[in-house]
Amino acid sequence: MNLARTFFSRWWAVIAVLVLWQLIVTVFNVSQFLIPGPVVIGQEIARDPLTYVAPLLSTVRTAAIGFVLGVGLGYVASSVTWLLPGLGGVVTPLALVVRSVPFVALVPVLARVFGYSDQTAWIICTIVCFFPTFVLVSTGFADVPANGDDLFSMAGASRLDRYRLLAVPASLVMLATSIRISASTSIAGALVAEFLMGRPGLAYVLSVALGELDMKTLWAAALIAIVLSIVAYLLAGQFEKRVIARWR
Amino acid sequence: MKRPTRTLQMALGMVALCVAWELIGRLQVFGPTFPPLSTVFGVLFSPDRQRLFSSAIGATGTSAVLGLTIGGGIGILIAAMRQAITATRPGLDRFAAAIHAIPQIGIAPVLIVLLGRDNAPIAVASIAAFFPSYAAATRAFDAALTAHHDLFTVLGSRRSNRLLMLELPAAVPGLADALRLAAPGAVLGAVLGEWFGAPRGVGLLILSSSQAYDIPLLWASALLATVLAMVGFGFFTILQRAAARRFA
Amino acid sequence: MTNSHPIQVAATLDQPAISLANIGKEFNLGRRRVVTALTGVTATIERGEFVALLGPSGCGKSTLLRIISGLEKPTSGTALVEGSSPEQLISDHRLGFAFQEHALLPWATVSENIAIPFRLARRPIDRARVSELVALVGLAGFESARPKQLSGGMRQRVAIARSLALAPDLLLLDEPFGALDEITRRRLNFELARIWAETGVTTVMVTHSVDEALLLADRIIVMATNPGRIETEVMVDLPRPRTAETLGSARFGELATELIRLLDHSEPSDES
Repeated sequence: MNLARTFFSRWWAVIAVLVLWQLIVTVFNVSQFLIPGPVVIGQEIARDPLTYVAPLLSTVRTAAIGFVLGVGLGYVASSVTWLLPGLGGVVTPLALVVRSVPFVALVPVLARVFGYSDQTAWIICTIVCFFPTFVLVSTGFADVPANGDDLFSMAGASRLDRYRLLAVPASLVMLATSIRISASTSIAGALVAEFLMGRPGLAYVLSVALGELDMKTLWAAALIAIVLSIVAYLLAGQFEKRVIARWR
Repeated sequence: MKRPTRTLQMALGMVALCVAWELIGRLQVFGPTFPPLSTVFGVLFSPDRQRLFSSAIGATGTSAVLGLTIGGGIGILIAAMRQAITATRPGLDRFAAAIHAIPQIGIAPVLIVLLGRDNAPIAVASIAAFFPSYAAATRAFDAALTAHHDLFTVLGSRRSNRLLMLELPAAVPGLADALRLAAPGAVLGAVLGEWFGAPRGVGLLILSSSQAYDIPLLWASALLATVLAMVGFGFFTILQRAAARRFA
Repeated sequence: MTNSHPIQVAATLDQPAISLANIGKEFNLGRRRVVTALTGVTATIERGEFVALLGPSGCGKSTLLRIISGLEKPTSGTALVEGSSPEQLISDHRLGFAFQEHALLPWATVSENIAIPFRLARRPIDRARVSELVALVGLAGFESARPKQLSGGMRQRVAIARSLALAPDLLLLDEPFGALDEITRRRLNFELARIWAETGVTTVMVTHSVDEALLLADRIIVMATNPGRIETEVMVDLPRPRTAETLGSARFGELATELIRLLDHSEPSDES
């Protein structure tokens, strides 16, 4: 009972949107061909789950690889810029600019440079996770000055000791935040890569369905992609909350 | 002392970025898909393309501004509702997180079908602008100080007076901040929406140039979108500073 | 905010302005940790009296003031203000309050800030009254300045003027000069003494400054910590008007010594 109430208080707005959508489709007798209701989409997925499972797994795989590489490299890169001060000011503008480049322009260029392959999709995914992580974790590191005349350096701690004992703990909360953000951007990156390069995955299903005007498949694939992204985001959000509770 | 150093480093970083780009392009490190900066600028400022670019900027700018108004406005309205009715908070937060996690490339094909090629860019821009403005507006509505709330309580203020005379004015800098954070997303959302085949806009330029293998034009369009996003950010940064001066 | 308080006594002339009966206040810190901020506080404050609540930090003096104002509810006991609940006084707009943080609206001018009580009481703004108050606190000429253009002392003057705008029946001051430097604070003490003499409003002020309490109050309620409670009361029989000379008088010295002794006694031996 209590569980149900908690669930409802968290999800009422999302449920309301789904119910409203179904109601509008039913009451106004909207063409099920053009705009199917959530029930019909659910039936479509249940009728032929295999159409979606393999693409879903492929998207998750690309996103996961890019996520791990992007967040990992982003953390390493911001560590390096903290250990070598001066580099940060040079690298940060690059990070800020690349974050504002539209996906749809980045992908064709990268695809031509690296080829139309799975590896390029990983690179794209890595890039979209790398820059937010780099920017966020760098602000976490920035709370600990690299050249401090504090207790630590007076006690003869080397910069690596300061990194290990001061900077890393200070950066963990921001790392958790970038994990939350990257959880959904990695999926967005995977979808863009698949869509633009025609690699197998949910976005490829989308692109084919759009070309054939197969509305049921289009809606179903879109809904699966949306739910996947939301689930990843919320799980990462829970993780972030735990880290914040532990480290702040 | 510290800020100028940082600004100088950033400026140096920008220059280094441009030089590196020029060199990579000149030396053909990545082949013809990576042209030097000067070539891209040549395209961007070539007189016979000025009408093409200004019409594209006009279309993308209009979509982004409309998307920012709709998405940002709805974000602020829902945040105001969240402020007024405490019980709605967990559900609305979850709803906003869900909207935030929606992959644009997953929803854009559906929006094309639903709203047509003219309106899809506005819709994608609205979705992109929604979450940043919701999140910042939520913080903004909590900006009034405890002492101010106590003052209004002991003076026997009604709820409506508290909202109009305290919470809204106190929220103004935060609301400007909301638009500042939402603006780049709105531009990039509009570009993505256009990429799916809008009649005009920077996104269409990206699509047509990448299909026509006009690499310098592709880079020029990507640069245009990036600059547009950063200009939006800069414009609302100035506005936000002015609001902070007046209301805080 | 309706008259749901069980005790509703019609205001009569001889009843006290404030009567506090056995007030206790506990704060729940979560995880079953409870802090007792006040216990067994019983006191009476007469009409037109200026009472100072003096004590070390943590003695619950601000909490007591917030209970009198209706901002907090006591866990036990009753607080009656002018014969009814503090909430009644609030909804009748008969309460003036000045906080330690000036709590001026940063986007409003001096005049607009002073006029806020009129607007919240949904009464027409009495322009003459506002300029009278501006003059009373010595800020003539600064009517259209914004708070951030003013010094800390000037902001507190505005806050005092605002608390007096509707000629309240009760004025509550929560360390209004606590954030100011010593010189400004002393000057504002004398000014407040003059303003109070002109209005004669019942006033309760929280302070941790012995000098401030002696310069302003008719009576000082000395409070003690752990748990917060009333230690004793001291009548201040210094003649009014109190000026810089009062500070040097023998009686002032005696009272100050007495109060410092009491406060020392009220402090627990280990500062934890």
